[in-house]
Amino acid sequence: MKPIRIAVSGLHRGDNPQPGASIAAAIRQAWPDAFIVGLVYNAFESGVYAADGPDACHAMPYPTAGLAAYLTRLAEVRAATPFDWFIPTLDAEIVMLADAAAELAALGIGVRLPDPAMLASCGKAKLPDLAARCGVASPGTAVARDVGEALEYAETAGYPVFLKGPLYDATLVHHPAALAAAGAAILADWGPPLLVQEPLSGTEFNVMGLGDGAGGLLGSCAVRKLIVSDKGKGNGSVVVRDQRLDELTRRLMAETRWTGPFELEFIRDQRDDEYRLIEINPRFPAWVGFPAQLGTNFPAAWVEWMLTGSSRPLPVPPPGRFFLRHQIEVTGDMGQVSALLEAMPSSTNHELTTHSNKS
Amino acid sequence: MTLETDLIRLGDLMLNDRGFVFDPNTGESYQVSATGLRCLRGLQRGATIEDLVADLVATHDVERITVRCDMDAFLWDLKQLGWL
Repeated sequence: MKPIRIAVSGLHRGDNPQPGASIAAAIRQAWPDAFIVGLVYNAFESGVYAADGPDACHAMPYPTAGLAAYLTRLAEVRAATPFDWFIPTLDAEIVMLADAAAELAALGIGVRLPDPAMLASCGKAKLPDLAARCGVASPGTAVARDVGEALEYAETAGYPVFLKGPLYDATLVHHPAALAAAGAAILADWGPPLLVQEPLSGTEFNVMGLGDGAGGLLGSCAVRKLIVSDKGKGNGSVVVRDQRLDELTRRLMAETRWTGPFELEFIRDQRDDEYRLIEINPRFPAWVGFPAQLGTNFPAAWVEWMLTGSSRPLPVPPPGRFFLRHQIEVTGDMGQVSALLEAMPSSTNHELTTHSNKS
Repeated sequence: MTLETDLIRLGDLMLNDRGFVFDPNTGESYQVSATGLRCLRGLQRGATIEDLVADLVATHDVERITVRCDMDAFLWDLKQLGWL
């Protein structure tokens, strides 16, 4: 069997970590001779310089450059460093590429993503409807087309409220002026709609898994967040085993007939002890390397499924095992940065840009 | 809609000899005294309340009525945690 050649994005592991570096490590855990191509948006994505980082890295234009520019660059990268599969890890990539299966296949690049309708049903704006269909509780949410509508909804619901963008960003606002400012910023960054959501108090739980596309699960892992960063990221979590979470996960997968990686975010509401669904992420989360270290290797199972159409059942990680996020310094040389950037197409390269990673 | 799941929470608890208790359903952890640990392990083995009281009376210099009162308070705590 020829070595697996697979491209992965999302290699940054800073204070807002992405899953790509852990996916690469998990794939190598199963296939030590796998060839990993890193696709990066910024020359300072830390995973590029990690000791177990990708075998080759190439700079990509942001998805906001449009599908045509993105596909053109993918073809260039594949010509320079051949790969057969691509695991996109960022929400903006997934939304864009879910509708481009034929174009990707024409380039000889295998990508398995939920179909656009499935993705739309799990978007933040549609999540309450999906949750209701599945008998899963969710926080009260209103979808606003602009700041004016968001102000009206917040006035009715009462402050504070969470204001969210369609893909990213969530800001807790306590009064109309704060909502207007946050709303304008989110619209400028991500476009409409704005979501006005009731804030919940309780413990946060996440479930990672793989859907088989037929309503079933190839495996899942549920954790409770132990340490939450000021950005809401789980910097430490412990494996739990709660049949209620398992059942809610099964219902959501059965209803959506989900294909591939996912992460469900729940809050166990302290008012009534009910799990309320906050978000569905259509990708591996940043903590995907944790279960892989316990023998539940979701990326390897997903690659096996993509290659063969099936995968061995994944073991359930033992409750009580936990992870703590541990940041270290990786080192690089400006020559590496230069080499990474010089192959960028001119359409995405400005005459003078800063290379600093501000994320 | 209610969830039809078995809530056999007490049997799920993970205990160690130092009295560290991990509830795998909630991810919470607790510390119990040596006596509390003895009672939790007894309950996990299927002992009755009367069995536990008799055991403590037999192994400690304490009156039965005192043990019974303390046991009721302990069981109340377990109920509050959803373990009983």
